[in-house]
Amino acid sequence: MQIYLPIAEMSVNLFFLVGIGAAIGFLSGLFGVGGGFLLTPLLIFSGVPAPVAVSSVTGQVVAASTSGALSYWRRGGIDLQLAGFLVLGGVVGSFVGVWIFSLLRQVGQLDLAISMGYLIFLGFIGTVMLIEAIRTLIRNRSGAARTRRKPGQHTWFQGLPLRMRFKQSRLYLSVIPIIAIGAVIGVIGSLLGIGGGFILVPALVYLLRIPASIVVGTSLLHVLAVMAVTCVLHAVQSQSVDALLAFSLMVGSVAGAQFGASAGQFLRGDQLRALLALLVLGVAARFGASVLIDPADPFSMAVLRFGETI
Amino acid sequence: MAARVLLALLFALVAGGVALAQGVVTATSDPTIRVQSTFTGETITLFGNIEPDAAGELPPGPYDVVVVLRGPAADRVVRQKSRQLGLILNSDFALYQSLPSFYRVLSSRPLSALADEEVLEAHALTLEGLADRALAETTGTADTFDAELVRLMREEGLFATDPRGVQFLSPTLFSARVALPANVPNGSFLARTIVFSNGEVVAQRASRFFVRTEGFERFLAESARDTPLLYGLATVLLAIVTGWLGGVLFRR
Repeated sequence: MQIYLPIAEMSVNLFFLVGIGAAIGFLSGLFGVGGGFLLTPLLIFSGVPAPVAVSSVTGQVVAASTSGALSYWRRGGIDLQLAGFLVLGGVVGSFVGVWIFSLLRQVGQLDLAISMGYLIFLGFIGTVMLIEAIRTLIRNRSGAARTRRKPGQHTWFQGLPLRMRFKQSRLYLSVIPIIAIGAVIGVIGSLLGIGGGFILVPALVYLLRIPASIVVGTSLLHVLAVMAVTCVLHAVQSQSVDALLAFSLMVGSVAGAQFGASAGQFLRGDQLRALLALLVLGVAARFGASVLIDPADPFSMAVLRFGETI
Repeated sequence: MAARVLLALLFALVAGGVALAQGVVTATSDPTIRVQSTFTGETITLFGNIEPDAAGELPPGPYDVVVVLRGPAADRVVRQKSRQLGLILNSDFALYQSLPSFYRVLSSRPLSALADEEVLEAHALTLEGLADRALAETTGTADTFDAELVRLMREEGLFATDPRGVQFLSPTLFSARVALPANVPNGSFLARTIVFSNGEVVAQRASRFFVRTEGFERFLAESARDTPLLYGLATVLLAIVTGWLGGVLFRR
């Protein structure tokens, strides 16, 4: 069944959209990530204009993280105070990101910037994740004891001012690194159309030592809030949010996520992380090809609108 | 539908109630094309008849007919990718201002057999000529970009020529069928009919019709443009409700 996407200005098969939504939802449930970093590239590679793909996926990420955040909220797995500071930084970051987005669109290098962004960012994250996962796999196999950091150990930003007590996380730390992390994820997320949960979680765990019981729920709430703001900003600034596209994807992914979460229980954590790392590297490689290999068609055409100039 | 319009047209011609100053009368099968959500394309049929002038004399035949459909104009930019510092970057560009977003040239014979290059150019019947006229500025070679623009527009189904698109039903009565693709732009379309005889234009006529998307899609596209803030907030609300519903439905 064909549906006409009014903003993307193309006819697409509805089952194709719901299908990829479900597939991404399955993977996001399996790995506990939002799935934006897979969905946006998939849409771009299937012919949806890059600006529309990036902006519309923000809507889908909101839906995906809402159902996740709700279940963590019921279990008390969200530190609202911590989430507040993260979101504060995230909103500032998403304003900056959307501004860069429309600037790049005006100079005609948005497609390149998105490809390069994905290549560098996913390439880096994927490599780090893969090394980490392989190390864990080897360590688990050899049966060596894990060296844990001692609780008394300090990192340099623990000495930063504006310290605050976070009761639920049982931490006493400066709000500066929290806001900074939120802002960085906000910029990246609004530029590339990803929630950023899969970087936020390790950042909170390794840099700020947020307890594992709190970290996933809090990061989901951050992604939800920042992506909601980004979605509205994209709608106002570049008018490239396709609500019909976003809705078709949401329906698929919300359903798919449930099956993914069930399937995830049959795989070990380190195996899951290795698989996810390979997936991330695969997407990065696909973008690398588009930036480094001569294109089949060097010419492209675009309609100028909304007072765009060259 | 088409048969009904044809009959109506024939009746009008026989009854002689049509003003025939321009030597050709035309009618389209549908003055307004509505684009629905399941829109995969629509066919519009144009009928025409070559008429005698005020003195009751037909222009000398045999005739060739060209039908040109022109959609609403937009500014377009064509960009060329090239390797710089080892990376594939957009480099040269060409800006086309007020370029029709939709253009069809249908004729009863191949255009080259129909009239001279100059006559064709003067009536904007070649796509390259159309592109060149809209070219506002370029950093590269105009001819290269014109050709690439025409190729890209053809690939998107927005530009096309059909050298057998006009059929004669009798020596003076003809019809032209145009398939409008799913990505046809919204707005006012101009249909020009030009009658050639021995390489000369002997009659022409223009008529308008409208293409508009309807229903939910039109509403969405308009709200995205006119009330972007509300549209963005509504999208977010929709996402939150969908996510919440999903969480409730699949709660274990």
